[in-house]
Amino acid sequence: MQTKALPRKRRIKSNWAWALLFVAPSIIGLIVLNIVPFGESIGLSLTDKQTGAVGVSNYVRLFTSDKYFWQSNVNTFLFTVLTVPVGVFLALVLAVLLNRKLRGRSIYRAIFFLPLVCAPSAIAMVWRWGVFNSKTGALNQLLSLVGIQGPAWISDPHVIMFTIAIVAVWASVGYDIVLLLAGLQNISKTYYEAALIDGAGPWQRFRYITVPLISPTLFFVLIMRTMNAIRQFDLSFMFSQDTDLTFRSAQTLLYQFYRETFMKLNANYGSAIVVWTVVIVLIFTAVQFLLEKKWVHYDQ
Amino acid sequence: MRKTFPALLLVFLMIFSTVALFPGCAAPVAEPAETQAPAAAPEPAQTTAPAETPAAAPTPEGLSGEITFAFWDANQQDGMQALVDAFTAKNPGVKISLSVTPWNQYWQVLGAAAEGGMPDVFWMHSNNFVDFAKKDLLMDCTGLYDKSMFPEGISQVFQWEGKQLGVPKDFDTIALVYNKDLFDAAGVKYPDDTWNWDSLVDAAKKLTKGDVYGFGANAGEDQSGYLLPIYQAGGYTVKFGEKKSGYTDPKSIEGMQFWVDLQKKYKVSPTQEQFSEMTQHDYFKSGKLAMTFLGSWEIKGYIDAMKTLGQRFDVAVMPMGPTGIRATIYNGLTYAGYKGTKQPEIVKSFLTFLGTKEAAEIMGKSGAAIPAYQDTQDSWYNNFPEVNVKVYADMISYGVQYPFSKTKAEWGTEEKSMVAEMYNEKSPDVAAEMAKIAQVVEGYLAQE
Amino acid sequence: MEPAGIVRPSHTAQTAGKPMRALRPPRGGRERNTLAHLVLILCSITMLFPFLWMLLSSFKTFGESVKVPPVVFPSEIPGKVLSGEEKFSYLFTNYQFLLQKITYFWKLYGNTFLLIAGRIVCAVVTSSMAGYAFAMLEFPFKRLLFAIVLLQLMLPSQIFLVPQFKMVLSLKWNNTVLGLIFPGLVSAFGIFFMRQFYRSLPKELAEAAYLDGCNQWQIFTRIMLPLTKTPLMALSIFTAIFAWSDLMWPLIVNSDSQMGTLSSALSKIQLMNTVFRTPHYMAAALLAMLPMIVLYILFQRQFIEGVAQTGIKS
Repeated sequence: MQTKALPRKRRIKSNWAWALLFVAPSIIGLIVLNIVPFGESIGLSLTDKQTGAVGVSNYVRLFTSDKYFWQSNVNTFLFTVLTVPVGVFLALVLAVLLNRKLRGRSIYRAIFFLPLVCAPSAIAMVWRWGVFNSKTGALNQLLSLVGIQGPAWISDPHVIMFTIAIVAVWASVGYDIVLLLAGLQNISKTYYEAALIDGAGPWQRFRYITVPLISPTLFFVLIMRTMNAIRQFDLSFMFSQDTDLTFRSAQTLLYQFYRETFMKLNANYGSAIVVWTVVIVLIFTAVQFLLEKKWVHYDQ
Repeated sequence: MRKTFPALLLVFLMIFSTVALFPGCAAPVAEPAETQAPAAAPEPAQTTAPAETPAAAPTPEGLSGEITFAFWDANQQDGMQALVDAFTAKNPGVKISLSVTPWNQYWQVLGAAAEGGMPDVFWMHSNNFVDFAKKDLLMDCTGLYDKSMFPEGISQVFQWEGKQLGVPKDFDTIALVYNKDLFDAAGVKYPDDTWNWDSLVDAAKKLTKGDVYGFGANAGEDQSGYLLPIYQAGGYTVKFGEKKSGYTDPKSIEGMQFWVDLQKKYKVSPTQEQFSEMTQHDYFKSGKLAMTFLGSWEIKGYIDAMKTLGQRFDVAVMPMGPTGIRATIYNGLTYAGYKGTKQPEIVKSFLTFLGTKEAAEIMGKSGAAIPAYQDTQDSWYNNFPEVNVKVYADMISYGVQYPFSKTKAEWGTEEKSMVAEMYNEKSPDVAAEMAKIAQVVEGYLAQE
Repeated sequence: MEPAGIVRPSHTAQTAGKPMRALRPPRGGRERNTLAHLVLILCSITMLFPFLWMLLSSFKTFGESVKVPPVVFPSEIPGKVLSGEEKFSYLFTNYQFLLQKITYFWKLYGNTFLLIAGRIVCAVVTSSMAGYAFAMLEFPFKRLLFAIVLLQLMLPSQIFLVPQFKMVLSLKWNNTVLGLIFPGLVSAFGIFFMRQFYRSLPKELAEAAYLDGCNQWQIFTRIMLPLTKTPLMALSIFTAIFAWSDLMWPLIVNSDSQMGTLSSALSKIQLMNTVFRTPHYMAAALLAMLPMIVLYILFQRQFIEGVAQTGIKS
């Protein structure tokens, strides 16, 4: 190996070339595979299916005369609010518990990981028949043991979103636990030792050490969870068909997209819904990034 | 350690080259199927040959090449494979690969494939026929089959600008199924051809007790549901070619009212809420439902289910409407050819084969669906000796084509959801709701 | 190593009256452990319940599986087994039927494996390079290009189906393994993931090597890449999970049933309701899950360590 360094200007230019080379395959791939299709979607959304004219007719129809659209927005928002805080908090608590040197720790971890390898839609009938059926499902049977009459999880429009949220949390908590666990393991034990010496109780340790130090991971998890919640479709589709009375309450933005594109075969109108959904995701993500500085602590 | 990256790259390239250079290992292997028809059977002579005689099966040396055959119902895969095997036995130089895409994705895929990669032969449904015909994607099949051997109505549906754009495959109808054991237990006489709506309601009321229901009237069913009483009352929803719909016709409203009343007024049916948890099929198959309307495509599943349940059931004709009108809904599929296929000779030959009596019997024998070819329906019946499935074909004489038009996918979906939404009310105002439906549907019809 | 941002609130005032508290850990620890176990066991049961149901259902007869009220434990088939009436294999009679009907089930495993392997290789190769560049190097349009990565993460995957299908058709890759891999040729998630890791490495490492005269490629392959073994393992497992659960794409691109994957075969089995019944479907679902479970159990530790090392800091 030679021992002379290149002059600075040439070095920077050479770095650029290498960097772009490293990045090129991925970026080209992303553009061709994903960005271009998104561009096509936008283009589709700006084209009227019937006349072929370019314009905002799809959006006008969406915002003014679509009878499902506003409810879809509300349902999506409700779903996000139900699953993100609860799911992430639950994952955090479980991750903290799993961080201790408990016996059978790896078994627990494997169990929590199981839902990730089995798409809920694959076992939809287990949920519909075995768990949530209002008379014979396990959940209501359990509740009746303690004297509570459980609601009609699947057929009551007021309850359906809760049902979907429960399954959503079930399916995603394993993923979040893994991420949070990893973040927890990065926290040096000395912080806790110092806190113990100071006489801090478990809740205080949690609040003033764990949460701040895990906040970068927590932030990442919150962002991913929120993005996924806004884009939820599979579970709504699994629990509610468009001829069920729960449909209006269960339909999320992407379910409406599916119905318009794949059932009514109007891809133009469906694309408008997709574009709107992406805008919503962008807004939520941007807001979270703005709030980031307020509560996320970064270590050196 | 420093060897990992080159190793990775090597593996990557190896996988890439293996798969790319040897497409043969990606080619499908035909599943072994029981070949129904004897390979060497000659085609039956047509007694009344139309002007363009259907082409006889070409000599084996004539054809060679590969085509793809696409459809959506995996349940019928064995049947389709049997047809392919029979054809390739006569034409050993031809290779036909099957392609199954589930219903929900089928039309999107077909639409996307239209720009390149279209299957050569594929199933066509009335809902989407006009769309594909207008885009000029379908091969002209006029003369490839003997029209007189098929129900008139089916050929009519797939006619476009005077040409037949498909070879009829099958038809399905809707009949009344009933649980014999439940009838016996309640002491009610089995349904027969004297039945009308009143008899249905009477019987259903007697059969509804405990957790058993008399009749399953799911609002979410159109072809096997609310369309039937509408037509039995003498009404209609959409007539092909007309911009005005029939939802607001008093007879249509009467028909819809009957369907709603089964749940709301007579209370002989599970409620729409209950249908969210268990469909009428689930109810029937667990012995909790005495009657429902059933499409012929569901029969096989029902027979198996009832056998394991240990209860007997049977099929009866549709009850008459209040003015004595008989009606059932039928629908038929066709085999369509891609107009721009690279193998037009093979496609024409295969389609011709599919329109023969032999092909009809092969398909019927496999239990896949009721073949449309005259007098071949026995091949399908014989699969289900325990049940009176003959009823399905017998009713085709008074069957009504499942409504369709160019924008059917849009208004059909909306119609179903809007009907179901009616059930949110305790006593829905059917006339007003039908008016709303008419408005929406006619909006789409106007665009055509 | 006192962290700068940690607040020391007035809890010292609260505990002033309880000076002995800090010396109590041993007893409190065991109590808390019991509580922890309780919570974990409760949650575990909730997690496991659907799978237990699936397992039991896969051994039932069809009649049992649709009985209302539902039968929990299968009795008809095991009854035959216990009474010695039939050979032991009858417990798995549903599995037998399934495998007899779908003779190419093993091919599905193969296709799924190739799909996963292909996507892992693509993700690892492209994401390592891109992640490194985004984290450690400066170049024009860096922010814009990274925005493209982030954008992809926000897009719903349904919009890619038809355009990508058209691309595959024009390449004639439909009904091949390459077609299955296609959407996974690059991985935005992978780029993001690897970038996070590389940011946790000190920049001086690259500087030192550079001063020694190495060019970027050598720095990358000889120094950086070897350090990323564990995160790459974690990325591989994530990619494997995403690839395995990809349902819609294999259904569309490989319409030939034999070239499908386990997940697409599952949906077809579900739709073949005149051939297969619920218990068969449950059996199929379990058979499909098996490889992933095995994979996770084998690589559990590396998986979590790998994620840990990325730090997931922005």
